[in-house]
Amino acid sequence: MQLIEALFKPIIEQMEADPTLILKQMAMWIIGGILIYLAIKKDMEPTLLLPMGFGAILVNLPGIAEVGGETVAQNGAFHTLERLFSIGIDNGELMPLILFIGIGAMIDFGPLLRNPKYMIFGAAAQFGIFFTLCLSAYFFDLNDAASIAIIGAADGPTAIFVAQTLNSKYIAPIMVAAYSYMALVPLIQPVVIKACTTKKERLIRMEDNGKPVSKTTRILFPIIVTILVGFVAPDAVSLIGFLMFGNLIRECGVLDSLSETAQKVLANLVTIFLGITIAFQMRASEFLQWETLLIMGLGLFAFVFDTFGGVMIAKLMNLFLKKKINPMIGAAGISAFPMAGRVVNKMGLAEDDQNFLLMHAIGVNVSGQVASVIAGGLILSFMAG
Amino acid sequence: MNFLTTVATDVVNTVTESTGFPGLDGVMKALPYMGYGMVGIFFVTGVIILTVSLLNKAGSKK
Repeated sequence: MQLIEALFKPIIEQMEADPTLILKQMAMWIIGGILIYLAIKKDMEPTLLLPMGFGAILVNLPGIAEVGGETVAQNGAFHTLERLFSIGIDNGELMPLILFIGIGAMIDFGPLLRNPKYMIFGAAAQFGIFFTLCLSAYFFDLNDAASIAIIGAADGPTAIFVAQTLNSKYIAPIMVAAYSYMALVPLIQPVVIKACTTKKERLIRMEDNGKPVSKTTRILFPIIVTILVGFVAPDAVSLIGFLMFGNLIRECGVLDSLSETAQKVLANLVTIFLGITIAFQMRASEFLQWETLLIMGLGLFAFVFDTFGGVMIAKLMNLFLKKKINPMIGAAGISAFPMAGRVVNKMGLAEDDQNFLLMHAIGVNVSGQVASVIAGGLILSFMAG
Repeated sequence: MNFLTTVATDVVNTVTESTGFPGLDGVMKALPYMGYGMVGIFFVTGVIILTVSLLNKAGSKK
């Protein structure tokens, strides 16, 4: 009997403090299991959903109780993740920023530099964020509404950065929504694109009119964008600065080994810790609220309207342009690099097997990456004001 | 029409009061940010487009 008591001491103590918590924790194991299943079986953002799923199980093991509004844990992993969260996300949003160096090093801005007008689609594809800000403000206070709206950026590090800077209490559901919807881009976007375009529009072919981009332009681009964004949205300067720093390492031509490290080793290392650290916020008592479902719904709304915004601006431009644009490429402006670009290319090929939209869609896609950071910075500036 | 508006307003007010949502007040507070955000993002991207176009022109002259 004593052996059983000793073995199940954490559960017994937790049940005495809160008898229902174990049921909620079991529900979180199921949610963790679903995330792991989606990552492995459906290949949905496995680099993040798998660590988040495993972390969700880890922080919901018995031995954790809410005493006087504070979480008391006997679970060693809980403390480790708490420390990681405090160092990597809570204090200065270190992990998303370092991850941005890796992402910046991965991005080739060439297709965007050849056709700078593609930035318009990146900007239009952030409309969903601002619509959702209004809609979320009906249900949540302004800081939380802004953090939820940024799910539409389809950009994980930006979403973490904004939610954490605005001190949102819903960071875990926001992260789960952001990464789940990024993984669901191939399912969500085609439905929206087809709903707002005609077959004739989807058949529009686009020539590759890109001229070669000089090395000077490639080097100056990250520096100039950082300065411009620094002036307009100073709160986003760390985000855009780290992204552009990564890109400068890539483009300068003398730091190949650093660029390769940033793209692979650094990005992978941070990603491993980021997913499992975010899971620290997936404690049953914090995560299992009706607000989580509402946030998932609002996130979907933001994604749909971002896609809609990108496509509609392309259709609007076609009213004035001689050389028509395939409006589907506007949808690639939702960041989610490079998945959104590939989805558009695949849809173009499905309509006409000689219609190669990849270079155009990737150009729009990288512009979405920059625009999503600018949108995050603007939101931070508004909320700070 | 007036009746429908009154009913809709009552429903919204009841939901807002019973749930503790900020409700329409929150939406009204967020509305200007939506406008500023849309204008702001187009302004910044406009400046970036202009700068990149100038860089490209300067690059092609060389």
